[in-house]
Amino acid sequence: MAFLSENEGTTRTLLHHVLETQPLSSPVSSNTRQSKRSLSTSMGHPRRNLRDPPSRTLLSKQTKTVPAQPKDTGADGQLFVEHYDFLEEGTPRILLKKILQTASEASVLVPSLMNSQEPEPVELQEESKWNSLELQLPELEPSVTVAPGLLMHNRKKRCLRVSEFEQEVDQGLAVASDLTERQPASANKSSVTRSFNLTLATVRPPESIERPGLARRPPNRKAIDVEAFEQRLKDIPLTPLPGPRKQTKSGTKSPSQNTPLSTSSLSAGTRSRPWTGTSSQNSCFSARSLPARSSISREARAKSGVAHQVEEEEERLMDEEARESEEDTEILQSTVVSELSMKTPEFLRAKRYHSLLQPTSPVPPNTNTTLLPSKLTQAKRAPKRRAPGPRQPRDPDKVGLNNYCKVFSFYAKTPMEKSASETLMKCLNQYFRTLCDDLETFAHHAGRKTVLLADLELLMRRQGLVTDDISLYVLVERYLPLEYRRLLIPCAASGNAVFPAG
Amino acid sequence: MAAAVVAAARVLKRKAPRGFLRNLIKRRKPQLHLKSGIDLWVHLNCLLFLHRLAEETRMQAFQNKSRIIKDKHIIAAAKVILKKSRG
Repeated sequence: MAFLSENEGTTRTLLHHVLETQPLSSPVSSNTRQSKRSLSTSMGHPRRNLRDPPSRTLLSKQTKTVPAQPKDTGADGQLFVEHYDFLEEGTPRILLKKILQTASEASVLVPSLMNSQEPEPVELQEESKWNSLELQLPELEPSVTVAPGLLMHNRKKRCLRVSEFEQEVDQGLAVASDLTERQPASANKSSVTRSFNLTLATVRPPESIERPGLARRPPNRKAIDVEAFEQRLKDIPLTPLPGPRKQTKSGTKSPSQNTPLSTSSLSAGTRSRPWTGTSSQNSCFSARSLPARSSISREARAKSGVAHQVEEEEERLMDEEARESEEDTEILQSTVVSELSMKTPEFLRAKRYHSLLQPTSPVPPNTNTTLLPSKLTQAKRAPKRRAPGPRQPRDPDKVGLNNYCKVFSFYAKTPMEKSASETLMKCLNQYFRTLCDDLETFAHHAGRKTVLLADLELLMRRQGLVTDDISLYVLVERYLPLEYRRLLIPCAASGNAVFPAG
Repeated sequence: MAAAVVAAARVLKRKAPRGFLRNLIKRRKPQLHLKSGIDLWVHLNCLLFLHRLAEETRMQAFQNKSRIIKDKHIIAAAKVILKKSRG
């Protein structure tokens, strides 16, 4: 009895008993049933007595034909057993066995999840829980077919539930009480408990809080400030025109800016002072404004006679204005600029003045500190100013064609003579000539003015590079580096899009 | 200069001179517009042309039993390949 009282709360013993009382899978064998009965009787009468009410309730529930009657006689129980035997073909047995395997022996409490169904009197709270558990299992069985796949599924559900019970046990009976409120629907239970468990988990804070570095930062405007700074350096001697630019945001590249130049030069002089803000600056700026004005007037004069140098200055000014109009939106820090302008006042100013006063000097002012506009003008200057060297098409070609000469030597794998490379350049020139002609012809034939991929494919087909065996993209894969494949070979991307757009 | 020999390149340059190609075509045919990715295909075409040319040149050199590529080899090869690449 003591032994029994200890084991009363365990699922294992209950299930064990149930398994014993249950008939074997084979429905027909009455002998086995009898043997089972004998076994059960032999197990221990007192045990049986205690177990009878739960087992009978279990059986009654299974059969569903007989209302739950606690404390039936042994014979009735056996009848029930028979009934049950005919109805179910051993699936509960297997399932219960599985439960035995999965259920740990430590679990004492089972939440009264399935308690709501039974209105039976409960001697012990635990026992009622066992009842509910037992009743639950057979209830599930009719819903489950005999198919092994579903058995597996059921098994998983069972496993889950038991583990969940254990979890809830850990959390305390309060949890169990919550669970009792839920619907004891068989299929939903596992999901419900699962969801319950999930809700118990702490919600992760949003990533932005966890990783503040990933939060959006305000856009950086520093790049333009640098430009502004450079602009200011450039602006100093020529007194340019942040003020008037703000007023008139005309087209930057148009050459008709000379008139706004002249009109604004006056205002620039006055505005430069408040713009700088320091007394020392004022003197500098006022000094600079004079040469600037003179330069502007000179330019206005020189506009009529298209002087070489003046063009350069005009271009520079135009570039500056372009830069200024870009910067107008920015609030420029005059102090920064003023500091820097202080660094370049004397010598640069002298140089620029010098250059402005000497329009004939071919050397561009050494305004390497002021960068972008001067560089552009120098680049423009270069072809014009250089002595008649090699022909123009040759000059830029040589650099590019050397590229292809190296490719040739790589493909050839044998050393070449230097004279041979000259010949090679000629060959390449000829090749490019024919290539351009062909592309134009093809485009024109298609009624287009733009060369498209189709033109090139046709060209390669006519050259015999692309055949029915070798496709265009195969050649891409063979000869071009990996990075170009993505650009050249159209790939399907998600959202019904093809990249590159075909 | 004729005696000077340039060794064969070991590593192939990987980037296509896109700007160079665009400028080339623009200078020759200013009225012709080019689609955005065309210069890469032109580069591919150049590579294939050079490949064929190199093969032919090497064959010519071997036929003349010389280990070094000379002018005449290239010219002879170019005659064939340019005719092929006429389109």
